[in-house]
Amino acid sequence: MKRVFVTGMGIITPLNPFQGVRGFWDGLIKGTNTVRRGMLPLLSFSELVAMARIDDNAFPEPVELTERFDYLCNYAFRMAIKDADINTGIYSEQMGLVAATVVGNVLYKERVLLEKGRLNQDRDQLCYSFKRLYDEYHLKGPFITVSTACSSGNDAIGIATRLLKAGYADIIVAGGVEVINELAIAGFLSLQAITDTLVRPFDRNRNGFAPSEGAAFLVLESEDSMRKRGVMPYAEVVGYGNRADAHHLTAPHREARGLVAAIKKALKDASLSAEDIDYINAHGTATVYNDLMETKAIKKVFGNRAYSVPVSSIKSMLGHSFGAAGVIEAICCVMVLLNNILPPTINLKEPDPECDLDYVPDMARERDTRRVMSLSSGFGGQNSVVILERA
Amino acid sequence: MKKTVRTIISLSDARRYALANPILKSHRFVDDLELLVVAGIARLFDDAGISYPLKHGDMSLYLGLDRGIEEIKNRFLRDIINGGISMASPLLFPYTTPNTIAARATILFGIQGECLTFPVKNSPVDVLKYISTFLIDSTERGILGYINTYHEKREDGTITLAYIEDNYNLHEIEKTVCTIFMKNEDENLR
Repeated sequence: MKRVFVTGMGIITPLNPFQGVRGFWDGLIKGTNTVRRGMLPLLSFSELVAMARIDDNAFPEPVELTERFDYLCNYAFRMAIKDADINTGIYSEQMGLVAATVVGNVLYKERVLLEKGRLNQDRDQLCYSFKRLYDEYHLKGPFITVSTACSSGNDAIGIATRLLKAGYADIIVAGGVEVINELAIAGFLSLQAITDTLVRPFDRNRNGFAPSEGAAFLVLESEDSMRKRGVMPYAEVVGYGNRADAHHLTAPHREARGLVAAIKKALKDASLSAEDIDYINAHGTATVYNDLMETKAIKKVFGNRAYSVPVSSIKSMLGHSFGAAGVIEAICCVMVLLNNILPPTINLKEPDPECDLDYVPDMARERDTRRVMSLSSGFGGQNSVVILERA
Repeated sequence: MKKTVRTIISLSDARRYALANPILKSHRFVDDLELLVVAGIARLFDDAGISYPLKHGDMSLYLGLDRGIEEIKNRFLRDIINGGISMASPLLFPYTTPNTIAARATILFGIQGECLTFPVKNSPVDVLKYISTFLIDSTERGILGYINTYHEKREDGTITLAYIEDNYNLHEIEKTVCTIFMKNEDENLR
């Protein structure tokens, strides 16, 4: 079976945006909170909503709201392929793109509907921006857009890895992009899933997540291609698992049926056991049911060892960027492997008695880390797990 | 039980099928896309001789869909643009994400394997060809489908579905999927 490595990374989040992976990582290990109460981008509501939005002033140039999605997408993609030292002119024949989003460039749709204009049906598609990127770089390998709610990012990585292992390409860029928008905020407010202040994963007083935005891309590459190009890997993707809860449209299965199955599948895929995992990057949204379900899943799979494996949620700092979250968290995991430092779960002051694992509260921690697991769950009972190993 | 089964159903046929199906007839559908997928999978299982709800977690669902989901988003957004944020419907909101359509089917039929949804612009063949190879990697059997809500000659949408059991090698699965999803829909509507 072919092996798949991470050879490039590009990321833009509200945490030190446009300052590359290093800026993102520095912010994470300092425990920086990016969640603020702010106005919605297009519609004027009196209500302020807790969100983590990339500061408009941080963009290298002025960008229209309707172009924000494409700008973040292109910029993060370019960062990733530059980081991997790829000349797309040479490698485009054997390069593919697997990209994730939940709502896509919905700000375009919102503006057109607001102005009672006519939607361009081509542009009004989830895969539009990614296809444009694929065409712009003359890529000829597989092109897939995946949309599996909040687990989309992990699924993009898993799908790309499988396609590389099957020999469909030498290099596949896997990424996720999302922007703050009215549709998601109004919807999640209607479900009372958004916090009014801080994101407090695993805390007794947690009351929801903060919507966020960002773009992140990983260059994934077969071992042969990597050696041929003479580049060094950051990490290896060793396992992937996806399982459905088959339970409820918006709530997770209370006994974590799907997530347990997805974790087991990822471990099996990696030929590893729970004993081999040194750190878990949690989905950790700070909704009451997610955090409880996730804790149960870890306990069910890891047994007594669950209490000694550090688990943290970077959504406490970054908010929840839906389709981008999985890829952002995978980049965090790669940085954990490279630096042997675990990012903290901030705002965890009063632990929920039922969430009793080691969540790395408040402060980053040094720990020798060889293998990490990243968990994602989403609407519709989606569960997706990726395992990365030090290269 | 058959190893490979293909089903194609239009929205109008899906309505009739759901009414006649003992499990589906009492089910309330929020959107036509949901009805199309659920009725299509029910018929696929019926054609394949598979009883449902399923009892084991070994079935996966891979679904491609065109821009049909965008109409649901438009409905949701028009409500909040016209009436304010309090007009956001918690019932409709989950349907603004494409995977909800597939998730509805996983819940109703007990599909606990992989569930992946792919927004597709034009032809689904390439995507489904790649994805079909996942049947070797993931579970022993799975459903591949494509929802097409736009058709020049018809007013209603269709879903094309294939049930495939893992008795193939990679090349054979690819070939089967290409054949199934490249066939002309009109010739195969029943």
